Amino acid sequence: MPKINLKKFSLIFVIVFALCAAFTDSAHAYIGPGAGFAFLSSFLIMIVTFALAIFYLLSWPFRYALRALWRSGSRTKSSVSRVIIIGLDGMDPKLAEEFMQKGKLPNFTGLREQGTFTSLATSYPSISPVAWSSFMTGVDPSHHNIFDFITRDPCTYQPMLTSAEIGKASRVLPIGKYMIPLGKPSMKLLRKGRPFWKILGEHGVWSSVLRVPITFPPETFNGVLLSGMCVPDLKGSQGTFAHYTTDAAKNKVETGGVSRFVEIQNGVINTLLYGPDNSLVRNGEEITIPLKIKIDKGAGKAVIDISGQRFELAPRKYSPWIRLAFPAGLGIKVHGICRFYINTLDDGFDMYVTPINIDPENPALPISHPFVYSIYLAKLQGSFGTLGLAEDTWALNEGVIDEDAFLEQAYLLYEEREKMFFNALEKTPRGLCTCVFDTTDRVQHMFFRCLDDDHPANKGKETEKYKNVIEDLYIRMDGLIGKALEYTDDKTVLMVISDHGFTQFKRGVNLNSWLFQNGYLKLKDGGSTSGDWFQDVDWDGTQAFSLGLAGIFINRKGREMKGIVEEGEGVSLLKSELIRKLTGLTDKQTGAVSIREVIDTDTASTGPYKHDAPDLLVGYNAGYRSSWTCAVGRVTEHVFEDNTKHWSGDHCVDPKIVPGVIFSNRRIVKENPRLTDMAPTVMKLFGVGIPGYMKGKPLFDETPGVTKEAGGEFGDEEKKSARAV
Amino acid sequence: MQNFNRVISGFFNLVISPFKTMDPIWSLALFSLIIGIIMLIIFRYTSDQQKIRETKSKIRAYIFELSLFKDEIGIVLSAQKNIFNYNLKYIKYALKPMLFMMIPLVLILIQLESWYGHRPLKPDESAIVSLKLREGGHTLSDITLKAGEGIIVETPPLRIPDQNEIDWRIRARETGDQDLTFNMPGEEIRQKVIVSEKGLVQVSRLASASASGFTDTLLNPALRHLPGDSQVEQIKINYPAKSIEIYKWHVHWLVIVFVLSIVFGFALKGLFRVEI
Repeated sequence: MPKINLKKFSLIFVIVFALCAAFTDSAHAYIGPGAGFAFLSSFLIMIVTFALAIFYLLSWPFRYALRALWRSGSRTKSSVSRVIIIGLDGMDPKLAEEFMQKGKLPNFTGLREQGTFTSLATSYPSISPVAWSSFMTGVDPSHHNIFDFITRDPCTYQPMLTSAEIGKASRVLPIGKYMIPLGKPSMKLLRKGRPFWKILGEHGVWSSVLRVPITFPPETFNGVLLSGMCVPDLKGSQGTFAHYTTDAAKNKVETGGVSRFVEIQNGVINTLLYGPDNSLVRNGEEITIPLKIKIDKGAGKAVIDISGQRFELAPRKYSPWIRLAFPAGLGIKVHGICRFYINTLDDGFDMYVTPINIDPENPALPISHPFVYSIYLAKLQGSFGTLGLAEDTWALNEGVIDEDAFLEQAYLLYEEREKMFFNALEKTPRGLCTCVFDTTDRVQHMFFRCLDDDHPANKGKETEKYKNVIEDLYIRMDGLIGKALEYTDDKTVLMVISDHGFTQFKRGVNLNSWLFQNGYLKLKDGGSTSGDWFQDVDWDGTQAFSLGLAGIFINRKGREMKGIVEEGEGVSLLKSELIRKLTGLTDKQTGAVSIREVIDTDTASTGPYKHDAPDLLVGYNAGYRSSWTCAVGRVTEHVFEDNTKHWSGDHCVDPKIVPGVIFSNRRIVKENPRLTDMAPTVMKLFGVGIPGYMKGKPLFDETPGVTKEAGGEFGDEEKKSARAV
Repeated sequence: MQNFNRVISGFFNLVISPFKTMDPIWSLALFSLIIGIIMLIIFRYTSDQQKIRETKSKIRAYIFELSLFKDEIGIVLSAQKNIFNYNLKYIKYALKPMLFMMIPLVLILIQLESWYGHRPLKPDESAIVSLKLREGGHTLSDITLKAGEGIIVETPPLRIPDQNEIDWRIRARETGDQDLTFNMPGEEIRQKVIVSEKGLVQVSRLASASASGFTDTLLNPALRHLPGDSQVEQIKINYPAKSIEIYKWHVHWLVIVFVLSIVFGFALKGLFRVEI
C-alpha cells in the first residue's frame, strides 16, 4: 500500500481546512458526507453502547433479585469468593520436585510452603481426554465414556473419535450440483456426565472455563467456555498440516499432514492451499484457494499472496495468523486461520503451513459458549489457535519443522493462552476460573528423550542443545504461577494440577502383532503383516484386537459386527487367558517387563459405559507404550520396536507410574488425592451439594453450609442414554 | 483558476448531460456513488488501516463484554470506559483521512451546488437583480437597466448608497436565455438570465464579477468574469433555491448526497477492501 507523508502535506491541508471553514456554505457541504463517513459509526457505537450500559445498570438489581429467587443462592454458603484452577497438562511430580530442589521454581515452592504439593492420582487409562473428563465430571471413565482419543466403530472396526460426532445436516435440497443443507450439521458431545461447572451454574456460581479437553461441542451453562482438546481443524481432522517443497525427496509425509511438490518459475511459486471438503456440492472435493509465493533471495524473504492478503515472510519466522476464506459457492465462505513458516529459501524452497484452524472470529463450528465468546476473545487479543491439539507434534515427528520451529510455535500458542487466562481472571472476580495449558504436555512429549542419553530417539538428532528445554518449560510455568498468585487473596483458592505425569517412551509394544503371533488375531490369505486400520484382518477368525492407546477389544458376538467370541463364559475365559499371558510380558531385547498389569474393565468398573470400553486396559511399564503401528491397527513382523520419533516421552502406561501433581495455596487434608476429587472439592468450596454419584472426596477441611445434594445417584439421564450392549 | 473551473465544469456537464431531462435524484445518486468511491479510496490510502482495524476490533470486543459479563457492574462500567476511549482513538485515526478528503470533496460539492443548489426562473416568476459598483467609480444614478423581450423589469431601481448597490425586481416572461443590459457612462454590460421550466441547468447567483478573487472563482463555477477595468464589482441574480422532491417531501440535495454517499461507501468498502 503506498504511503503518503502526512507531515509534508498536513500544513497545506490545515490551510485548506481553514479556508473552507471560512466559507459557511462550503464548510457545511464538506462536513456533510466527509465527516459522516468518518464519524457516523463511531457516534452510533457510542449511543448504542451507552444505552446498553444504562440498561444493564438499571436492570442489574432486578436480575440479581431474580437470580436469587430462581437459584438456591449457594453464594451465601460459600467459603471462598473465587477458585482458580490452572491445569498444566502432563506436569510431572518427580520433575517438579527435582526442579524445586534446584531452586528453579520459587513460586511453586512458595505454594508448597503455603499450602500443599503432592501427587494427584490420575485416571485409568492415564490419557489426557480420559483424565480431564474425570476431572470435570468427578467420575471414572466407565461413567463418562471416554477411554481414549479414538475407539473402533463396532460396525466397521474403523476408528472414530470418542469425544464428539460431527455429521452433515439431516436434510438437503439438491439444486444442480449443489446440495443445500436444510438445517445445521449435527454435532454431538459423546462424553457423558455433567461437568461440575454446570452444577455450580445451577446454584448461581459463574465459571470461566478455558481450553479444558473434551469440551467440544460446548455445552450451555452459567459462564463462558472456550473448547479445548479435540476441537477439529477446518478439514475436520485433529490437525493436518501442509508442506510445500521443491525437493522431491522430502515429499514424503506419512502422518499428520500432506506434502506438495512445487516448482519455482521465474522466482514465483503458484500453487494452492487446500481447505475443507465442500459439503455444498455433490462429491465435494477440497475447496482450494490460490497461493502465490514470490521469492526474493537477495532480500532473504518471500512475499506471499493468499486470500486477498499479501505479506512478507523471512525464513525461520512464523507469520501471524492469516485469515482465510474458502469459497464454497453460492456466496458462502468457510473461514479459517493458519500460520506460514519458511524453512529455507536458499536451497530450493521449503515451507510449512499449520493446520487450518477454525477462525475464532468467524467460527465455522461453535467452539465456545456462548457462541460469541471466541469472537470476543479474538477481537480483544487477536486471532488465536483453536485446534484441540494445536501444537503440531506431527510436523516435528515427520521432520517438516525442526525443534526450534516447534518450540517457537508451542510458545506462541502458550502466550495466546496466557493472555486469555488473565483476561478470564479479571472477568471472574467471583466464581470459578479454570484454564488448561497444553504446552507442558506437548513439549515434554517431544523433548523427553533429551533427559535420557540412551533413548533410541536420540539417534541422528541434536540432544545437547535441547537438554534444558523441559527445565525451561517448568521455569516458565513457574512464572505463570507467580503472575496468577497476584490475583489471589485470602478468599481465593488457587490450585495447580496436572492430569498425569510423564515417563520415557523408548520401546513400542504392538499388541496386534502379539495377538496375531499367539493365534488371537487372524490375517487374510495367510499374511503375516497388515496395513493400517486392520486392512487385512480376517474378522471371522479374530478373537481380539487393539486400537488406540488404551488396550484390547474382544471381538464379541452381538457387539462387533463380525464378532465371534460368545458372551458370558467365552469372553471371560478369553480375557483371563489374555491377562495371564500379557501380564509381565518381557521384551527379549532389553530383558525388561513391558506390561505391568492388564485390567479387566468389566470387573474393575461400575459405570454404565464400561461395555463400550476396551475390554482389557493395559498398564505398560515405564519406557513402554502401545507402538505407533499398533495404535493405528497394523500388524507388524515384530511385537517390540524402538521408538525413534521425536515424540519420545509419554504417559499411556500404568497410571501408578505417572500420577499428576497438585499444588494448592491451602492445605490439603485428604490423603492420596485423586483427579476425581477435584469436582467435589470445588463444589464444597462454593457450598454446593456434591452429587452422590461422585466418588471423590473434598480435599480441604472447610465446612461451609452445604446445600442438599444436587444430583443424587449417577445419571438417571445418563443411564437412559447409555448405548445398549 | 478559471481554466480549472472550465475543465471541471465541462466534466460535470458531460456527466450530467444524459440525466438533464431526468429526475435529479438519478444524477445525484450517480454523484453520491462517485463520492462514496472517492472517499473509500482516499480513506484506504491515507489512513492507518491496521490501527483502525485493531481499534474497531477492540470496540466490538468491549461491546461483547457488556453482554457477556452483564452481571458484574464493575466490568460493565470498565467496558463502557474502554469503548469510549477506543472511540476517541478511532476518531483520531479518522481525522487524517478526513483532511485528505477535503480537497476533492469541496471541489465536487461546489460543482454540485451550482447544479442543484438553485434553479432557473420559471415564466412569470420574479427575482431580485443586484448590481454593486466599485468604490470611487460611477454614481448609482448613472446606471440604467434594459431588459430583453422575455423579461420585464417590474420595479424602478432601489439604490442603497451605503453599500454602493442598486437593485431591481425582474419577472420572467418566456423560457430561454434572456438578456439584461446594464448601461452606464462608457460601459455596457450584458447579463444572461436563465428561464426554464424543467431540466438541470447550472446557475450561479453571483452571475458576474470583475477582479474576482480565488474564493469567488472557486465557489462559483458558473461565474462570468467582467473585464478588469469595469466599474461594476459584481452582478447577482437571486435565482430561487432548488429542492429535490422525494415522495412529496422536498429534500435539500446535500441531504441526499450525505445519505447516499455514506450508504455507497459502506456498501462498497468490502469490494475496495477498506476498513472504515
